[in-house]
Amino acid sequence: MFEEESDSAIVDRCRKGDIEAFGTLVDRYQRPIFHAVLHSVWNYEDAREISQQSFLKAFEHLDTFDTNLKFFSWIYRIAMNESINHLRSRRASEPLQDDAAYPAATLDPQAAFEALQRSNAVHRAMAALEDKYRAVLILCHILQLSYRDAAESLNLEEKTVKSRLFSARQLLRERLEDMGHAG
Amino acid sequence: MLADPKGLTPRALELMHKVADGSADSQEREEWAQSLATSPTLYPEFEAIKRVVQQVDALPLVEPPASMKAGILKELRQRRPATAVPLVSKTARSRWQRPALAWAAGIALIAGSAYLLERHPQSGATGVNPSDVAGTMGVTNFRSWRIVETREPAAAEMGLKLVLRQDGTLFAVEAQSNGTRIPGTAEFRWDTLALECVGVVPPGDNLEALNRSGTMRLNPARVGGPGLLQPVVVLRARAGFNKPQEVVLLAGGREYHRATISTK
Repeated sequence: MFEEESDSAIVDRCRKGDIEAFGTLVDRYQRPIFHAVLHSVWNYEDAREISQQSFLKAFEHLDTFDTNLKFFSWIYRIAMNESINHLRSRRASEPLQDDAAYPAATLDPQAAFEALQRSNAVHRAMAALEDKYRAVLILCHILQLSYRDAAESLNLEEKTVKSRLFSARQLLRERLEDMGHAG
Repeated sequence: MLADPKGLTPRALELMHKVADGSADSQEREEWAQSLATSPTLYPEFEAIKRVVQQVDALPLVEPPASMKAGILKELRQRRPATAVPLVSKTARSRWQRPALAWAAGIALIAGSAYLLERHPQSGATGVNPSDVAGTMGVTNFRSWRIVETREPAAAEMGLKLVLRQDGTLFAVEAQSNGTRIPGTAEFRWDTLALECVGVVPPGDNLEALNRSGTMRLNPARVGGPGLLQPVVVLRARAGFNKPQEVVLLAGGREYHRATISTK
């Protein structure tokens, strides 16, 4: 029976200079990383660039990767650091565009607009949360990680993740109610 | 956890959220159902949280660009020669091996050294006046931390001694001058991925900018003369990076000192 090669085995090959092996890690994690970054920076092009840079940085620093950690947890932290740095620099220079997150809509225009309006309200409410609350929402809802996996990705205890997630939902609810989007 | 306005117990709060997001097992669902039966006023709260869960879960997922993987691999191939080169060398060394980075680093180090020396009345004391430290953490007592490495001046004409102190995952890298002037510029450089700058002496540098660049430049105008301020950068090892890291002091256009940071 074919067994999928472990991340740590692939990392070992990459450390020996095998660039193509790194493509397997990109295949495995580009979607969750891109989703996490997109929901942090809310701009499709920026998310593409930040995701790409995160993978490049990860490759460049593979010798510092602790193989006791999950590769996803590690690259997730890299991507979030990159996103935070990007947001800090953007806040000082340009406002966030409401419709910048997605490429051209594929739904009919009215449906696309309504979907965007709903999701943008939720996203605006999420964007107003502290980073620590937004992070658990992204991991547990957008990426659908378990409490335990989210805890590992954030280097926190599981009970802390639960506590933050429950608080984040409560805060999000209050903000959506304030915005008139309580559902 | 935030205080719950509805007076839910911590257990009831956890049950409510786990049932709302579908992670509760059958026993927990039953326990929550009993809570609702005895306290029907909890129901609106439960419904509101369920709606939030549904709204966040309904956020659209957008596929990454199809070209992303190809772009990453293309960039990696361009950065590295066609023949495989093992990635086992230390991060800092592999970085400096790239000509453009090495050149830029050299310029940066020159600038950094010159910044090292600023008049500072407490430079020899155990503590440092908080007003002389920029940072978000309690780093003003770094001179009381354990010294883990010292590097004596590498050349008489550029008398910079490097002192590395450690307190857990915090490291203070100090450049102490013997009073001679640095020709040109100097700087500290570190890997921003593995290390976060949490404080500097003297204050004035923007920590966010330092953490973006991984470089603390030392102003040439502030270098030289005995009793001057000894520049310090305080770095914290980021979670997940447990391999040794190097902080480089560049001076006069070349590497002057290199200190190894390790949390082990």
